[in-house]
Amino acid sequence: MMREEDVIVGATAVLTRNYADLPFDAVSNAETAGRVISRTAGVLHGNGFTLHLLREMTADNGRALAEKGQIPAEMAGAAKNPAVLLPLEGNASVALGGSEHVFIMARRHGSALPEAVADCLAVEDQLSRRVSFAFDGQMGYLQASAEMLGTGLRAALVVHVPLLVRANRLPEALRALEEMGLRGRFCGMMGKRPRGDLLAVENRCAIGRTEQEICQLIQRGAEKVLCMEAGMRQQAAEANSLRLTDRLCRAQGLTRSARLISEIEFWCIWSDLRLGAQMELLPLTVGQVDALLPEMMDAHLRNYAEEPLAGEAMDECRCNRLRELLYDIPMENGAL
Amino acid sequence: MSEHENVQGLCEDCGKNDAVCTMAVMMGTKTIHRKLCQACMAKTSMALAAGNLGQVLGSILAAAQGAAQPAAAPDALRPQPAPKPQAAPALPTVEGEPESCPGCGLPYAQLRQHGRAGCARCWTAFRRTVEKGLASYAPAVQHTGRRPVDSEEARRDRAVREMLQRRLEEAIAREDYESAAQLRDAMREIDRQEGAK
Ligand SMILES: [Zn+2]
Ligand SMILES: [Zn+2]
Repeated sequence: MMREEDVIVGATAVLTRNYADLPFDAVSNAETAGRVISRTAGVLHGNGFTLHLLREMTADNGRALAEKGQIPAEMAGAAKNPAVLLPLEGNASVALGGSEHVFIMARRHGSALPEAVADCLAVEDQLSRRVSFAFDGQMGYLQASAEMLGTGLRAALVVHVPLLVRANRLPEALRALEEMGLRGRFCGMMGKRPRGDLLAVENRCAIGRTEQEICQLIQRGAEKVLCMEAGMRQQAAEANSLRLTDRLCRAQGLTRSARLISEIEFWCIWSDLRLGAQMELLPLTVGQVDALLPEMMDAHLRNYAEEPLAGEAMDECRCNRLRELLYDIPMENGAL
Repeated sequence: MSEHENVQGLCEDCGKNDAVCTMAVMMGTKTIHRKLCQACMAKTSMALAAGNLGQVLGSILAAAQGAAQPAAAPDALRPQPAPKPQAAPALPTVEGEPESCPGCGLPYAQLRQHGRAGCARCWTAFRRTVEKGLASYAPAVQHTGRRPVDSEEARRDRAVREMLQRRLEEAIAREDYESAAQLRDAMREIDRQEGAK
């Protein structure tokens, strides 16, 4: 009843590299960042990528890049002179001038972690034919962060575990991951609940395993968590829980009739819609529910509305946009 | 900066040097095209945010990636567990390590506190500290993944290009745009020959 591809929301890979002759403080040092940009863009700009400087973008366009996973979140804020090379066709973007010199970042739907890593490695190939990165025989690719030494790879599978969250079994899942040498991380907290009931299963360090071994380990870790979630769902289905069905159907009712949806409420609804779609209790597909991301995020909504929305206006826009995306109801028509 | 572009005229930013590239620049919601010289590209550069920024994927994945570093996200979005300001040092103390990195001057205490280096030489200067720190959770403190392509030929090609790149950066720093343009041309020629191989 529970298909793995429905529970794994997506795969992310970040590959970091640094230039040996430049200091590692590109965040606070605009000149270092400029050199990193010049070197990296010198190879990639015009060769499948286009360079964009963040400070020449609106703040919302910068944040929208972070919402899409094309730059690290820190870069939309603290960095002095960040830039990004966006692909014309490919799947990986290259963020420059952050806490490591070069972040090669890729995302894929579902459990396609090896593919996401391959996306990053292909860009690294393209770069390393033209420039050389700091490398040490023992420590591997040299990084600002000790955790990234070695392969410079941080990979993750993001899994949707609403029933583990409800049953308070997350600590158990986190311990199991730790014993495997992995780490479970929430993608933000909404009160006491992980945002969207999502858990990222990621490698804790980047040294001592090959890129392939890191992927395999993460896949085993994600499977372990999925088994726990599957067990809970089995129980819920057998219990034929009217209460659960009621909750999921109510969530859909909100998407049709609500006038204001806050960000916190959105994430609760999102998780319920996703679970309802997977359990075939709601007339929605998992794909439809996933497609709400990142359109429902603040910067995306502001860009879409072309207005500096805040407060109630933002919550109203979130509500109308949700209906537009799910049911093709034009924004101006309002609630059903 | 594309090799395929053939841009003519003066840089629209400084108005002094020959333009070498066109860039789409996002101004509010409009996209305009500007011709720029190499120096202005490197120093001020340009941005755009075209409507179609490639494949759309969950912002949640973005949060997962962003949290590889201390996130500057709003409180509600901060990855958990939130980094505490005075957490235990990220790396253990090892007797006999130098007081600071000979490369960048980063104090040993600071490296241990944050587990972050100031330059590539930090990790060789404090090798024993990072060995001890990583040994507590890495399967082995020995890199086993991919390595730089290190054929004699690859090294030679990169060495020439990198020498030119450094001179280019120096030329830009002292605002010698004429030399910068020449160096850029020389690097393009190398890339062109490389591409033809
Ligand atoms: Zn210029
Ligand atoms: Zn150093």
